[in-house]
Amino acid sequence: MLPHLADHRVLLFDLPGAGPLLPVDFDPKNYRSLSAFADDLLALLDEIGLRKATYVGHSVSGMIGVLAAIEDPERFDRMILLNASPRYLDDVGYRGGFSRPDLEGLFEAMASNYQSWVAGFAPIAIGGDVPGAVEDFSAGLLAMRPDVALRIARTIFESDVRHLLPLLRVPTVLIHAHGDVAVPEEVAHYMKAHIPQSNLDWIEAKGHLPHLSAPVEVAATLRGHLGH
Amino acid sequence: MVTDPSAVFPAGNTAIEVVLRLLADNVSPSVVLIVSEIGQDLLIEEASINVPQGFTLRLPDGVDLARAGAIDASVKRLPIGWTELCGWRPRYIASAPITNHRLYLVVACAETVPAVGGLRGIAIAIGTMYDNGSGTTRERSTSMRISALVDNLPFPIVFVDSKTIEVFLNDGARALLELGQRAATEGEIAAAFARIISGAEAEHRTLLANKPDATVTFEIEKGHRQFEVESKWIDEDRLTGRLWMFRDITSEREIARLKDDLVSTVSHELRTPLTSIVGSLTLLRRGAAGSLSEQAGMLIDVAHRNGNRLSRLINDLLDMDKLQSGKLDLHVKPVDIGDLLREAVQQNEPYAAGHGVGVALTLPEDSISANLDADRMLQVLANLISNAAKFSPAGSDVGISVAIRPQALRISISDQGPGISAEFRERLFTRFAQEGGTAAKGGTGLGLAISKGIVEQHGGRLSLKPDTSIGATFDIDLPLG
Repeated sequence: MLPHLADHRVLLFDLPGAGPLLPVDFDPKNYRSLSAFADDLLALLDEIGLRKATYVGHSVSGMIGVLAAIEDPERFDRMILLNASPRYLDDVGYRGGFSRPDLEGLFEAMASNYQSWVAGFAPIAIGGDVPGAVEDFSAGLLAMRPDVALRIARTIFESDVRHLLPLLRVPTVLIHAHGDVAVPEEVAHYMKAHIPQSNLDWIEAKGHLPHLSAPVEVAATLRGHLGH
Repeated sequence: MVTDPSAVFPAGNTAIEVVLRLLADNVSPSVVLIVSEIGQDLLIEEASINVPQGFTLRLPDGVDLARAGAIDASVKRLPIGWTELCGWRPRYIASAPITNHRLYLVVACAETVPAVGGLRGIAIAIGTMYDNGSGTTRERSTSMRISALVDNLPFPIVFVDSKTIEVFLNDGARALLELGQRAATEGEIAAAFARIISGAEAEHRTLLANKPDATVTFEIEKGHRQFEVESKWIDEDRLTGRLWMFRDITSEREIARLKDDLVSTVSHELRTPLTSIVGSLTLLRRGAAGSLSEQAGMLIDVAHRNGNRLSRLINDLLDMDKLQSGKLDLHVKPVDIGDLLREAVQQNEPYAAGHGVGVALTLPEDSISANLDADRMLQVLANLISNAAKFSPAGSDVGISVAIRPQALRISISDQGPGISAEFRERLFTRFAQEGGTAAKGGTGLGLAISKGIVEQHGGRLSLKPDTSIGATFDIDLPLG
């Protein structure tokens, strides 16, 4: 996405465990809940002295931003969430997209042969015939240590922050693509209904990673909300 | 307020749960927890609300668990897990230790400050209930089979089960990771482990991080002892995970070091007297002590030739020693590659001519400059050119060519000789390696090892082209810019 945002100051950061190198004292067990990632995000902004920013987060990073913005609303002038979800697991009266057996099967597949799981999962998540995007996403997943990936996948898929959405006081833009295997369309409507100042924008792209499969469309929408 | 809960409820965790609910109802809205400490985090043992198993919280700034007290979180950053747990952002957090159980009673409140005195009393009462009932609900799950296996191995070993994310380690590994005999938390083990691995070279850490099933071997130093660490990905039917084995190589290394010290000392001690022997022989040959009989002249020549050979060997040994101990200082400055190669040709042409061999230099049209130590690079070129000349058939040429790649420069030296056998290729660059019959040609067997060391010290690479049909070609690759 960066080339499309050349006229903005963009801060990119890796979530712990996501990059190819793990910090020396990194312990995936400390990341059992999304709030740990959000604590890190605020600590990072403290450290670099960034007082105000527009937050753009995809998927789980969207909710990590939401948690950070609930704790420190002054830090953020706007939240832009791309294909985010407050809960991936189905619940009574809520369709998250995954049943309990779905998830257990997914964790089992990740644990028994991580590489082949990635090979199967990446094209499904991309959701369209975009080989370059599948390759990018696969490379990112393969860069993770399997035990770390599994622990973080558990954290993500078991997360449920629905009860916190009403606490968000920062204006929020929800950008969603159709045909997202991880985030059903109902989830987008659920977030629109529960985040006080929110707008929902559908884009003409398919799959869970539209920024990889349709970067031009995502950039156009994003730029619209960034005011340029 | 509940003053003596054990009088009302039967002892045990169910009763404690009820107490927590009653407490929470007492100061509303609030969440009441019993927590234990694991590292920097709090593990929730019991709660007045439903909490996912294994939920941990970060300790907020200013909370001292050892003493009963309360903090006002409205004026400071609170770890976000507290908001996630409560569903609202706590304003006050109060805690009191539960005597003798390494547990703490914690109350998070949205509005009212909890009465710390009352909390302390309740914590004591809960302690009594624990005395009468069961311990904490959390029990470490272990796989007896792997534990027994790991415990009985005679060297430090760690196994990280990727399915259960459990860590198994034996006493040797405990000592190495400085964990002591008590049961360490997984977090502590992982942190200690990360410290150990941080001693590995970056390339190994990258490989471990990028290739989950890679087998990696590297060395670490721990408390004046060296270990060779082998890390393997195990993928069996019922066992998936990473195995780490530590082999103590301290004495092996010590012996190697003593040998190197000996070589270094002996070489230095030999050089001084040898210099005066060769010097004296040179003077004798020049007739400094009057003219010599034909036979005496021949004998002096033999002594002089062999004295020079011994001197070259000692210089090579000293260079090798400097390279191995990292004491070879390079005097790097921009050098024109064309000039450098022309000089190398000039220096080595007479030697090649002695073997009936010519030297053919092919230079690119544009001049190229690289940062290097000209004297040391001439030493490398002299070694490669003289080697090539030695093995070339009379009448042939030793070829020197230059190729420029992005960011790199390649100097190739090739001959038309018999080539190098597959068996010898493998140990070509090791010390004292000589192919059968080469010693007769006056080499020390150190030249290639030294050349490789010098090129590598320049950040480059010296290699033998793998598949030449005629003769041998050595490539010197040097970084540019």
